[in-house]
Amino acid sequence: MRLALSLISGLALLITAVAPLLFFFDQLSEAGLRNLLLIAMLGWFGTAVIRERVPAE
Amino acid sequence: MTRYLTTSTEPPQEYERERVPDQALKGPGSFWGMYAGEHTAGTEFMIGPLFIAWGVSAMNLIIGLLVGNLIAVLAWRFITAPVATGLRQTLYFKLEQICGRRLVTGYNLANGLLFCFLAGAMVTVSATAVGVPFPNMQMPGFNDLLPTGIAWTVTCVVIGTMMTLVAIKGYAFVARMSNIAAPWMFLIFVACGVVTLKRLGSTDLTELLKPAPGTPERIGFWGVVFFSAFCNAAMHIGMADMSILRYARKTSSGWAAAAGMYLGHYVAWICAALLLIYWTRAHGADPTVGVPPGIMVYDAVGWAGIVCVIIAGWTTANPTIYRAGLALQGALPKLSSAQATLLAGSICTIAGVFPAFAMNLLGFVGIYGTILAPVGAVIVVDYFFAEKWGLATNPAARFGRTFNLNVLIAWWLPVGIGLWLSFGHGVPAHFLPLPCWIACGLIYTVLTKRESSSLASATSA
Repeated sequence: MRLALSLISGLALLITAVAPLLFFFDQLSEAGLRNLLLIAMLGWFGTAVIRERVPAE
Repeated sequence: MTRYLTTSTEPPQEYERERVPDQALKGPGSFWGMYAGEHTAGTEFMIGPLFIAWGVSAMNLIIGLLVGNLIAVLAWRFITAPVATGLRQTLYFKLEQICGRRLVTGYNLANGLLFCFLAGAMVTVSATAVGVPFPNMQMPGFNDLLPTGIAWTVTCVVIGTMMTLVAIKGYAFVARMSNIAAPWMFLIFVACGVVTLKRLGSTDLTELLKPAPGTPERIGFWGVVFFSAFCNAAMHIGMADMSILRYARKTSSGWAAAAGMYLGHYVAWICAALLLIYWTRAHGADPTVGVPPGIMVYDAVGWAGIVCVIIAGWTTANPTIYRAGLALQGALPKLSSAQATLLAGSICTIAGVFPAFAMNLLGFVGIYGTILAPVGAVIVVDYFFAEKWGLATNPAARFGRTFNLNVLIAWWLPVGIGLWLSFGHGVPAHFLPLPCWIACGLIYTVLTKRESSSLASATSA
């Protein structure tokens, strides 16, 4: 469970880092960028909140 | 900047009056993450654009920040860290031994009030983000000192009240939230910069950061160097970070400040500055009036940006209110911890309603450093030089004093002159912390030496 959460949060952070670059190189629209950043934000904070509630294995 | 003030991972009220034991020491990893998070705060969204409003040129900003931040890192590494790891005490406890309990109370009061005003600036920044969905709310510009209307006032009061209640009830939660949010917030700052570069159609920072025509150059190379080096003067040369670095296993943990300086005070400031450059060029905004950070960040990266501004303000304002409460409690010991935090939060909320603090942040942090940093020189003299120069170490503790007049004179004589130069003669406040710090150390040395000599002659007689 914790591994899955770590993977999701890592992916969220990766999206936050890469999406602006995709926009910069014309591979992503402005609306797409905003949506991806929003989804990544929800993923990052969502997994953090769940991780707080999951007991350490 | 401003961690200033935010020591979110610092265990509150631990080992306050004793040396930190070996088992509580931490490796460098804890400090790198903490510094990186603490210096990526809501106020970074203000400082970058304020440089543009002050007509800074590209090379002055890029090279000036590089040099100034290096000076700040060196101060943390070679002044703060050795004292902190040598003594392993809080600033307050060490000051009490030098200055006496009553004088530390005065320092606490000054510290607490300045913390409140800084947290107030963070409330202001957060309010500019909360106000984005409400187009009728008039946002303040760089030249606004007073509240811009009822809607603005209500927004600030609501945010300030929420922050205060969380500071009273949920400090640990906010501290965790701050650590979680830090890497994400930094990436949002970078995203703002990348998106803005794309919109501006250039990656040539030297061309992009040229001052807009007609903008007077109010800050040059040395201004940028001194500002970036001493905007956290209270923390490094002022020794407030003794409270954090006393947990460091080795003095080399002082290098961790580089993470905060070069991510928060370099990359984030430049990214935030680019936002105003874009608004100046694309929307014809007046750089001297500015655009509220919430609007600019929302325009660049959407809702994630708004959340970033709110969280950046919230996670840094909360520990600041908490620490202001502790400082005020030190000055007013009859107050309970909750009452002191409530008092601090109320002052912070009132300060937040007035945009004057956030919109004059460059001047405010200079004043903050000018008032608080010089006290650190007294500790430096006591720790590094007192024995070599034949001065009494920890004089208040040694002679059972509650008020060391030498420290008061050494502290307030240069600070008084500094404030007079700043307010009376327009000397930029960021130039003042270093000379005041040096003057304070010298005056303290001379006064204490005289006193030690007269005590010695009285004893021999």
